[in-house]
Amino acid sequence: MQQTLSVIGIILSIYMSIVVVSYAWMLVTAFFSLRRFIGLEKEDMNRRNQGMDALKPVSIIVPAYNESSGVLSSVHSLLNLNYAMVEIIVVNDGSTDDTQEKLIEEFDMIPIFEAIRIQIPSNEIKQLFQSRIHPNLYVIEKVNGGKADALNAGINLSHYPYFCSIDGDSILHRDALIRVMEPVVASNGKVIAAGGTIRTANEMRVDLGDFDEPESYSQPLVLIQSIEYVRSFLIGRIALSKFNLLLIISGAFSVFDKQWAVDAGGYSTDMIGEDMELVVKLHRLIKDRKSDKRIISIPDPICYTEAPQSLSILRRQRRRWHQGLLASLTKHMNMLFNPKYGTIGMISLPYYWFVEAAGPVIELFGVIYLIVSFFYGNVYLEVVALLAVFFLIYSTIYTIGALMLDSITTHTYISSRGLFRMIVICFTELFWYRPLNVFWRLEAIYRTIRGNTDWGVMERIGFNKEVDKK
Amino acid sequence: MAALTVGIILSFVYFEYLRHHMRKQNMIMDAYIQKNHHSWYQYLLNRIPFDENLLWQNVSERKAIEALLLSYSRNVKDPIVRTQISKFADTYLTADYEKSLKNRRWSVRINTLHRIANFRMTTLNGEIQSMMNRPRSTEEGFNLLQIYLYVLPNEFFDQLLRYQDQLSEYQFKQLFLDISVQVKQTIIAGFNQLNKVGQYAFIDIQGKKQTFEDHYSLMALLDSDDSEIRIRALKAMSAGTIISDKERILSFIDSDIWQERLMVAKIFAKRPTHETEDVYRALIKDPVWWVRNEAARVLSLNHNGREVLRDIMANSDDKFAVDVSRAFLLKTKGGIA
Repeated sequence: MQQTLSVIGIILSIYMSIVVVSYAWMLVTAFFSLRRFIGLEKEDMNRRNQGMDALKPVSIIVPAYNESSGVLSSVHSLLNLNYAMVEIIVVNDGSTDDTQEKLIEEFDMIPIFEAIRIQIPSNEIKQLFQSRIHPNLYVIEKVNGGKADALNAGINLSHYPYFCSIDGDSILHRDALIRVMEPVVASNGKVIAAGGTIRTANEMRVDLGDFDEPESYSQPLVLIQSIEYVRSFLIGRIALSKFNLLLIISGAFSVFDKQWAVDAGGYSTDMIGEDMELVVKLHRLIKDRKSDKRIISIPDPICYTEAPQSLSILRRQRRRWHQGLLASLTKHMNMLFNPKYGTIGMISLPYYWFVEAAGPVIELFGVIYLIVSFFYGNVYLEVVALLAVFFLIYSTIYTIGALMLDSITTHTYISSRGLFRMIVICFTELFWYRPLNVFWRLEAIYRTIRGNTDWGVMERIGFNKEVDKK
Repeated sequence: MAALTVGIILSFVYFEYLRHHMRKQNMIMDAYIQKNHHSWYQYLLNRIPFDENLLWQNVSERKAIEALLLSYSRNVKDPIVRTQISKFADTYLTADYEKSLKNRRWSVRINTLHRIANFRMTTLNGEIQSMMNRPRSTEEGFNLLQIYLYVLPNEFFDQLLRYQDQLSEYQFKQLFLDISVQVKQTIIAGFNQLNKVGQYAFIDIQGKKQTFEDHYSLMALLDSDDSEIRIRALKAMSAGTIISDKERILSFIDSDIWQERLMVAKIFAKRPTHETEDVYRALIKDPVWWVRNEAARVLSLNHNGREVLRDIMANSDDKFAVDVSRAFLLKTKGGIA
């Protein structure tokens, strides 16, 4: 038994070292990628792009299922985008609330008849509406088929070569589309998908697409999620993106080359994580076609989204994310360690499998190992305490690093009070948020094994009570 | 633990310093602009001799002046204002910018190149020419070309040819959007020396501000062997109103390439329906959805065209033509098209 415990201890140590080194590598890579932007004035670039037709036209697709509380704010923010050629397609995916009625009334929409070219199968479209105030705004009313199906219907209607998918409860920064499309068009078609940086929006004041971000969130649960978002988008995704290793770009705000997305079969309707699945399918297609196309993440196009404010909703969200990750990884198992898929098969997929997907199991295993070892007298409490301190330090450094990268990209600097609150929450994270996350992700693994793919309902609060209660 | 404490304290100091610095800088800039904006207005618009008391006392004040000048240069097209800005920048900012162009940080060099371009500075031409010999990044090469466009237009085309393989279509377009008539003529004359990406971009931009000269140069491209060039030339023509050789354009109605047929539908959109009815009656039966759709859209734009659509809806045996006619008639009835 003692020998077995030692072997397990060594394996766990190796695993931990790999995780620590991976995260450190990401932090350093992200820092060097973003360092060049320190002090860069973006006003000139934005202005140059605003009025010109050099950027490609984009269809923005907003899938909406019972998004009554936030859909008007969201559409107003899209109508306020600084972008020359854009159409907005809201897909009402069989909502049972008044999402569609609100849109029709607010934007003076009338039913139109348009032949839609079905490039990707989707559930039946009942009716199509177009706004008389903003002729570039459409609403598709369709039979409920889930988010992926709604996005596919939007792609079928879209008239432009690029489409941008955003969530019905998300708000885009005025320059977000310019910033995300600039590297896409500047790449001469080499970049076929790009994801933007997402931030939490819970205590933000939104008024007809204009908004103010709070310095710090009052609720610990929202605050810890805001830290998570910064860490994930400005470190993990930027680092993976640099080497074309990105398997996830957020469905809350991403742009795709329509032809490539159609060729990849569009969004998969039988999968929970349709956004990740499309990216993996695109990577597969890139390698199958022996192409040098890229999928990137961009640090500064900012999209705001409402983070769950209660543990029960957060639990459902995290469960769903992890189930989506597992479903996609399992489906593309034959790419894992397959040299045909280059760095995606040899580096990216192993990382997502062993660090992201299997992480909670190994963490649980680590805890069980500690308890068993404790009873066998193999554990030195000093070592455990030292390890805990090490992870506290690591997590705090990681968070401060992420905040520094955030200040580089946004040219805003967190107040001492805000930083203090963030550091305090980081210290406590290990004792409440981390275990909860591990538990929820373990639940997701269990549900995946059981074949349960129920999404769970997400309740929204809405950004602007006055506009949205109309 | 001690390392963590030190790290946290340092991060507090770092963020607090940056916040304080930014706040102080903004305050100084605001105060300077509040105090002096009228004097700057007098200098820039009324050509009142420059008062040296307006010069900066510290970096924040210099930034305030730059912000002020950038605002004028972006928003006012008056040549007097432009000349006054250049005069000031050439006299007082040259030394600082010369130093900034040699800065190790990419962002500092890029910001400086933006300012040199915006202020149309000529005193740094030597530095610009030597940087163009070996740009340190593609972005710098592109920004240098932009400066050539404004202050060294005679050398622009040669430099563009030398550097063109580093540029994307998007960057070509950004450059071509700002070209003067003189530079445009040089490019038209040397069109064949541009690489394919540059040629495509130039054709697209010719469509934006089309003159007779552009039109005839586009017409000449219709004989190209490259279908992309023909399609782009037709598309560029569709953005303007000049049709010099109707028959030549109509010949594309029988093209095997549907994009060329689509462009025919776009080009004749601004002609009266009685002149083009036959063309659109043929195009609305096209096997490709995009062409049918465009033909119906054009017809729906005026009363006579809508009559044609009604006629097609009532009498045509082509189901697709009937559908697309109905779609556009419904839209116009709702007040959209």
